[in-house]
Amino acid sequence: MNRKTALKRIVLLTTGLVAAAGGVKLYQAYKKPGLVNLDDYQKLIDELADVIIPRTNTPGAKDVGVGDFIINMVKDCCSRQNQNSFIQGLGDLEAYVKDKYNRTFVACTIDEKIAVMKYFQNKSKNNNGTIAKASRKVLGDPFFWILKKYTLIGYCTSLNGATMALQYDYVPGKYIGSIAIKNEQKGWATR
Amino acid sequence: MGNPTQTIKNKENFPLEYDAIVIGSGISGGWAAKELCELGLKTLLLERGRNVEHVKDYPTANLNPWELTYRNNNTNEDSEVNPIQSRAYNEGNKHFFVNDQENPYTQVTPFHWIRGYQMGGRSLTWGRQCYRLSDLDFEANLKDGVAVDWPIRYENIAPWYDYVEEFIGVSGQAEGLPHLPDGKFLPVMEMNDLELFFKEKVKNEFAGRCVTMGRSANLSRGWKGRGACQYRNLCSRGCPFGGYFSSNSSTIPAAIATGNLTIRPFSVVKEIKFNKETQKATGVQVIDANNPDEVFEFSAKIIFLNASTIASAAILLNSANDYNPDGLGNSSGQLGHNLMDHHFRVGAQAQYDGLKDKYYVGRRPNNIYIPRFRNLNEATKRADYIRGFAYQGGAFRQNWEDIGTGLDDFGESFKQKITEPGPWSMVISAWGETLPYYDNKVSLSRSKKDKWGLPIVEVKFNFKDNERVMRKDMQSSAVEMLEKSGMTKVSAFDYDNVGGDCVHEMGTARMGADPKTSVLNKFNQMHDVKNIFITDGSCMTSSGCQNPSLTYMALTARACHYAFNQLKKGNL
Repeated sequence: MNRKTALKRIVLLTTGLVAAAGGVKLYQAYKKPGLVNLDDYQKLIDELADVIIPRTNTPGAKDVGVGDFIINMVKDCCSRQNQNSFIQGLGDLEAYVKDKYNRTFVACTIDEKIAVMKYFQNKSKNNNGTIAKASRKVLGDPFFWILKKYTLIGYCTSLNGATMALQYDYVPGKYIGSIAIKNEQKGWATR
Repeated sequence: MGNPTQTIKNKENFPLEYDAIVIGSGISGGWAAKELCELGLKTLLLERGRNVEHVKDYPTANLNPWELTYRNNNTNEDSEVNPIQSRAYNEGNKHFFVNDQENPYTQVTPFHWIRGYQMGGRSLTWGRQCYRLSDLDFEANLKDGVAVDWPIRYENIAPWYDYVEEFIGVSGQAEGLPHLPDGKFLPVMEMNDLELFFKEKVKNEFAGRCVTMGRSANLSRGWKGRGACQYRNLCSRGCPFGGYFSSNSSTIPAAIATGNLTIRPFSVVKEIKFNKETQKATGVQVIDANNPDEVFEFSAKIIFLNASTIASAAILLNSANDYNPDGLGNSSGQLGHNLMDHHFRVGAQAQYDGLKDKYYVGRRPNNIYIPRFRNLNEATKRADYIRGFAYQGGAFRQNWEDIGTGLDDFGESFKQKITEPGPWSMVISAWGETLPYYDNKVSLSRSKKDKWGLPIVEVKFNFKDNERVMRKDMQSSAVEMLEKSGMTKVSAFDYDNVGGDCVHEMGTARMGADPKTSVLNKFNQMHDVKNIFITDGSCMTSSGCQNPSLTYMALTARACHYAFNQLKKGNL
């Protein structure tokens, strides 16, 4: 029945055993996550998301309130491993910023924020080998991936993201199979 | 959402006798109610779930993406509480699926039983694709020596396909293919530029293959008092415009308009009562869904059983009596057996580097279709498997959903890339015929009962070699067509496909000429109990590879007119 499901993009299927997962890592991944603390991180999450999708001539992630959505998703829709990975990642990031710049992320300059995000983006790389994939399945996705994924979804499905950065048609009323692309054509927010 | 506590008021005065009872209000039950009412029979429509009124009870139909808490994603609670249904539902339509905890069944082997217990059943959430079977399908079992022969041929059902298509409204393109007969079509929906390109390439590169627009019960213009499709692509939430066919939007209102219909939601059918003197069913015993201690018995001259393939078999198995020890109407021993579902989720996708200056407007709730091209005749005969498959698919420009997480980037350049139209992509995915196997079956648990005290259903189902071998061709042919069309980055897929995933259950009370080997005759009438008719998916003798709902609807209308005439003649 669900035609959409069948047409969905290919999901990476992971097989094979995990060799790399040591005991401590496993504990970190599967322990009961401290989800109540997430709300305290809202301002930080908003700032992080805003570096991923900044304000330009259209609103940024912070403008559309992506933080609320990210917290909802991590609390209610993430695997336990990803919840732990995300919370651990927030702590790691704060510690890294403190160590490197001796202030909070929120207080950093935009260049410093970008440098921090680059660091965490790089940390999330080298994750496409067979062992890395299998390890991800057991230990969870890297912090940066989770942050970026929910920033993306939260932004593009928000009122101002969908209608200002993208184009959204509530009731199209018609289907036209062929139109010419305009200059600075925006993509459709939904399909 | 409708009021879940709603129940029948004025219980004492609720009439107990009818000309006809229809069990189930889904796509075939809705048709039975409409036809029987229009023929003048006082008809009781029983639905085990709540009432869902067209438009009024579509709570999510007009919501924007940002008005859904999880933006149409499922939560951890969804997968814990509803591990089966949540495979098929999303945040926007989950209220049209059952709760797995309250509606248990046993998977003897893995089988995903997707259900919608409410007025309209799964006609609210169906895929809306409408394809006729042909004599290639009706003769297949006979020619292959598989199971039993269908007792009908295309000429028997063709006028009834016309009849139902004219009512439901099917947009599509006539192609003149003998194995996929044309219907009474509303104007065809448009293809986009890459689909048109692909259509031309396939026509030139592959003799005998055709790419056509999907034949869909979405209205390309206003029809029979319902509004045209608005191209929102939110069908499964219910359409406030009536832009697609459902029992709720179409057949049930038509039945109500006759003044002959009585609806009783929250009616769980326990069993069909049988009189051994007359050899007929006398009525239906019903448990009030909200109050399992209240049991009613409704009587009627004829009964249409449209509870869906697995549930209809379960009702008959639970209606066993001294005279029918193995289940009502089961002297053949075939009841509950020969369960089928299409196998799918296999195909290929690709990108196309051209047409960068082209885009489209609207969200078309329909796909392209590549009709079956295998085992049509000697020239297309395969040595390695019998029957065939068809593709559904489409082309689109990738958007943020497709490319966002894969980009190794963030910041302004990232934002630019996710907000502009991405590269063109094309997906084609196959729907394959599954053979009827006696050991794929529905039975009743001897020990476990549900909250209404009814034995829970056990399902045993496996795809076998013919499907497995066909699947390889379903994948490699998809790759071949995309490659020969000049696409790039062609990649094949074959997702895990478990029985039931396609939600095309069929075959548990098959039609056949011989009462010794089949449950229903050529008019969907039980061989053993002449006043019971079954016109949901359980009647199917083979599965074809076509989406089957249109065939259920045509067989239902046909059976209703036959039953009415037999009743008039005093034969029932």
